[in-house]
Amino acid sequence: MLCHIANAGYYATDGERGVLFDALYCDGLDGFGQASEITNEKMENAEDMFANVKVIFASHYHGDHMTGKAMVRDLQNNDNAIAIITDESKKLMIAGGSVKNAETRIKSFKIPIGENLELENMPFPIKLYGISHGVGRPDNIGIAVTVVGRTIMHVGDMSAKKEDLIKAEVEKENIDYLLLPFWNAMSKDAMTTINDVFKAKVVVTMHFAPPFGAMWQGILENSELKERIYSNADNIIKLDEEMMCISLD
Amino acid sequence: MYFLRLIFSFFAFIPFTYGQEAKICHIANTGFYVSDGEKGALLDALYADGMDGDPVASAALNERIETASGEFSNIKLVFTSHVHEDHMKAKPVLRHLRANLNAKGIMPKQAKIFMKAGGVGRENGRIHYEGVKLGEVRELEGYAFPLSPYGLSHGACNEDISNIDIKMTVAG
Repeated sequence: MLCHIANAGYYATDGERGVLFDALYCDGLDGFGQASEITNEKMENAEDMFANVKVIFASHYHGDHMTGKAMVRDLQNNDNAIAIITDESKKLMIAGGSVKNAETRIKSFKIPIGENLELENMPFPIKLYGISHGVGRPDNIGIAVTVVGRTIMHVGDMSAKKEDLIKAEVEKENIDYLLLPFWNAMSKDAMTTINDVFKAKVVVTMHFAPPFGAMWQGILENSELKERIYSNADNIIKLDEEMMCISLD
Repeated sequence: MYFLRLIFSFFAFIPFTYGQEAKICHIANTGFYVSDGEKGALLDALYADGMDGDPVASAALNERIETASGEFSNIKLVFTSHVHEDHMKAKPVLRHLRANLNAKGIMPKQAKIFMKAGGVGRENGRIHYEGVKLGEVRELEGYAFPLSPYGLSHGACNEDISNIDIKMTVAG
């Protein structure tokens, strides 16, 4: 199943092994969506359904996607988990505390925009993509993970040029579920471009939150923003409440 | 009547003396607050819930510090020695700087990426990212207190952490 945590945070599992995407940031940044205290505690302590997590992924270092302490806590409580992060993000993790076998369990990458990298010996088939967050922003990586035969792609805070995505060959990934920040889906035309480039079967729009995000678009309520976005393409589905899950079977 | 006047004088005097008193106060861990009675500084004190296993200030005290309330409304300087989370976190530092437009920050250059991760915006203009080298000392001007940052090692096994010391003069 694939479950929403909060903001751009998701959890996917085949029932035996799980992966967390951009979910370990605890109280994050002021104004952005956060998981409940109980969900954060379970993730950080690797309890219940999160005991099976093998991969914790953070697309970039912004505090609404990862914090050193939350990432470190998960790795401290779950010897079987590895972290996949950017080289920049690794600099933040050193401030969050020590991790046993950090040199082998914290895997950091710098992937140029428009390129991809297939990882070997991972718990799931994984490919990383260099995807821009925008000029002057942190390095951002996307990840494609195949879970029970379904490929889920999380693109982080994508603010990318179409030609860079084509160069990265994202369409070859045969994506089943594309986790897409809402600002890439603001119009029907934008969604046509997204579907042309990614060719994903299903798009999950994410990273809604702060109210001022909606206000930027001249919309006062996030709910109104969501409804507009959900009507911009037939393959967009709602997965926007904490621990709302869909089956991957 | 005399007694009433005495009581009034007493209570009127308290805030005055309270406001004029130079002091140094412990916050938690290596966090301190110093004040000459009119203006204050926070040293390694803005890290909220910090790092597991290390002491943290109470939630009530952290809230007063972050919102620049009460005696913390007079803060002119927020100093951070290094980026370990039992000394600083971007979010509480930013909360204070946003609540207190009179405060300036001094922190090592290494902290710049942490502040970006915390969403620093226009507050960045009030933050000085100090790059003093190990064994060297500098003097900074334009602050509410005379300040000298020193480059001091965090020690073996922490070579990847930039650490700065600060000497400041408060009420002489």
